[in-house]
Amino acid sequence: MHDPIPSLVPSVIRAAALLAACLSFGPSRAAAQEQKQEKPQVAVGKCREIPGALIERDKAGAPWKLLKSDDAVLSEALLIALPEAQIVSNNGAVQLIMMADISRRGPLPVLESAVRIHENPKVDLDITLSRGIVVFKNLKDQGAGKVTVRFRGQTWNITLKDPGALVGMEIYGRYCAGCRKFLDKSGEKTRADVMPSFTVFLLVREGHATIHTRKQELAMDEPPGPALLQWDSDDNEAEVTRLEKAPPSLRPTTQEEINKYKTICDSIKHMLEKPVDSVPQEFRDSPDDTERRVAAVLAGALDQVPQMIDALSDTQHADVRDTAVRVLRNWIGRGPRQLERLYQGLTDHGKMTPNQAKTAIQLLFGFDDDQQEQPATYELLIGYLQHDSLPIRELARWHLVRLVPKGQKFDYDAGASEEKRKEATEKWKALIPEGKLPPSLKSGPVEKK
Amino acid sequence: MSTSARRIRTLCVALLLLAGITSAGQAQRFWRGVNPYNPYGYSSRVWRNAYRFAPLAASYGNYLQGAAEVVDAQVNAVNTLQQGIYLRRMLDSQEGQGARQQEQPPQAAKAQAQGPARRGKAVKQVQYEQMLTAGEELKEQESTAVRRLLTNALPSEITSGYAVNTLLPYLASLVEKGVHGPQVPLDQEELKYINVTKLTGTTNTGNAGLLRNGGHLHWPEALKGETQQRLAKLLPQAVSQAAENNSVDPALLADIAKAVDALDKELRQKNRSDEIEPASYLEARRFLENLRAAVTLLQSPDPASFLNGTVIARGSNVQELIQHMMAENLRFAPATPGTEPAYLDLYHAMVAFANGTKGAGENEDSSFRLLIPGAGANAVPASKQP
Repeated sequence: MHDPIPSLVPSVIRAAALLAACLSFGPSRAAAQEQKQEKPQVAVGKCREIPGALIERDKAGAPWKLLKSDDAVLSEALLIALPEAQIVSNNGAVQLIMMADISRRGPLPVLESAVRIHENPKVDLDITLSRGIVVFKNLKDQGAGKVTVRFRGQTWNITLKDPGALVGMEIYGRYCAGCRKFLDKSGEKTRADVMPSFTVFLLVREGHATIHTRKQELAMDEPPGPALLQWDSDDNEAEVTRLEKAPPSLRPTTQEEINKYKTICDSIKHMLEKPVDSVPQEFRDSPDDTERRVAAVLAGALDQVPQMIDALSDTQHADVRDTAVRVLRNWIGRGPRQLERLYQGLTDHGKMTPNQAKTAIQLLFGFDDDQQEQPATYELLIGYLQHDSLPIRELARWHLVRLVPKGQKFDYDAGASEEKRKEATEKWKALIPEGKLPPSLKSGPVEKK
Repeated sequence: MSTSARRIRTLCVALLLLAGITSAGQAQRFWRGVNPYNPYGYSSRVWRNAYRFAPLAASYGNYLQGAAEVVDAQVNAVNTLQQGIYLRRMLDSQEGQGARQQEQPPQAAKAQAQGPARRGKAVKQVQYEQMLTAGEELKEQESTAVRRLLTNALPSEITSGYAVNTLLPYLASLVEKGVHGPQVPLDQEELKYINVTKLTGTTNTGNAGLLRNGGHLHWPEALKGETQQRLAKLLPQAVSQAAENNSVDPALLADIAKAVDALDKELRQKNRSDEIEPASYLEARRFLENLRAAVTLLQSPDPASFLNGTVIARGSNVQELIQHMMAENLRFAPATPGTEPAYLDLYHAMVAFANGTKGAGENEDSSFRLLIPGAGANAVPASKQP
């Protein structure tokens, strides 16, 4: 099974770096690399409270296993939290909380949190942040806690200056909107200019912290103060924003949210009583809608491409298909190689023609402003509502109801009978006649040209 | 769940929601109101950089602030008048009040809640005082559009010609008043790539952009085939006739129009049968739009003047260009493939001209932003008023 972590560094850079390494040092460096990989795994932390589930894979290809409170966490193992797990560093100095945004309070659909912890005696905690949210808390009674965070070729050293200092961090990757070709001339590889973009947010909630990036040293404080940092892969710059007070979003969790959270955690725990790898398949048709959706999310978290495609092709459950679209957009946003894997999966497992597979992936990208102002875009999407392929129908629906919310009332169901689909499609056609823009866009530039 | 755990969870949620705080101003970028993929107004350079033109919003933000002030005064006035519109609508009809309530400002909703009798008396006076004429409403829409376009035009608005065409009459009106903006030079090479069209009543003369190379086009893959090959032979003949005789044989024009229609049908068929992917389809449809505009030009009364370079965007600087465009009744036609960067540069030049900051060091008071009456510190000194 593919390991997503190596894709943290853009593949082209990795390939170039590898080539340079081989040319410079020859076999001895390669052997050293191999030796490094074979370095025995050691305990680098201990699980604390796990409200949901924490799963671990020691190395690529190994089976996933479920960790429990007080279990040791091994160095270099891939850890995935659904939706939350707490780990304490080996020396007890720093607490790591991994989180996903299951209650969808935030704007970013953070479906899971994934990290790898490294053995590094120079700091209290050294992790590679693959995806999702992590929070660091200084547990020391006195003195600073030191954390190293690696992501997308970056290495940041975070110093939690005071006991109790609390710093949150989130990484988010997505392909920018725009339906575009993604395969190179060979038709097998992703074009070099088609890359997801990544954003990292860091928030100092309590106490003081310093952030050392490769280029900058930033002193940050809780509000009021320079509490928020934003980094983007496109310009590789970190920008700090001053917050005068804690943001209004720091509201307490409501009872309803707590209940919902508990329901999901219970579902995950129940589902993961089965072997982890089998869960997405096993619960895809569960009568419980929460379990069905969690199964789709888990398929993405575990890199199970066939299960993600099955979820997108679910004839019975519209909610599973809808979740699958978000899961897939999230999954391809991890790195450029994901597109090739999905393309392969759609043609092999999904039995799609190459052009249908390309269509599905281009639909996952979405439409940029220019395309949203082309009547042809809406004709295209409405046309796809009657496509033979269920995933393409679902993706067309997914975009249409977002681009033209007025059409939600038509209740188009991509899995419904042809007759029902046709009926709803006709309503879409009436709302956006051929050659026209949706009513909400009529004052847009196209009409004023 | 422990208090500590809750606090940490709250922090995570806050982290997710913070995007909105860092970028309150960004949401307005989505001028239609809500970005369907970003309903929270989430802002990030990632998303701005989705377009190669996108960084302009950030890099020109401060630079253009002065330009925005140009129309601020108008917009403030409009905000007041807007309430009048809402109130008038309330009175216009007893029906559909529920739906309209959504677009009413709080004051209007309050007035409505106070009962029909009171509404009839008090609100009518407001309506009477603040009623807008149709012309004023149009002006209001235009000023709002200008204000936004001076600070935050979308790439598609620039390449479609919408942004520069909206700014054109606004800048022309300032020039007409005798205001001299800064000298913003135009790259004459780039200006050649700006397509223009002539207004003839409610229509225009099409777009010569695709025909620049004697009618030899660079066809998208999705359109290639027999029909395309036939058109590829017909178009150079038509361009040649138009350039030499200033008219095209009607039979040839009919053949071309027929072939374009056939090409359109073939493209749709290819899409239906999954022969092409969406990106290729949209690219080809956009190309066909430009092709139809080129055919319109060939059908227009004076195609030669557009093809031989007589009618072009002309001017060594923005002010000259504006004067030329208005005098010749020209407007900017949409960009054709490959000419987009020239449109971006032209847009920047027009905004710089409006902003008046370029060359402000030499004569700061010449900047347009100083000409808004009653704009406080920005008011024009009496001695400088035209």
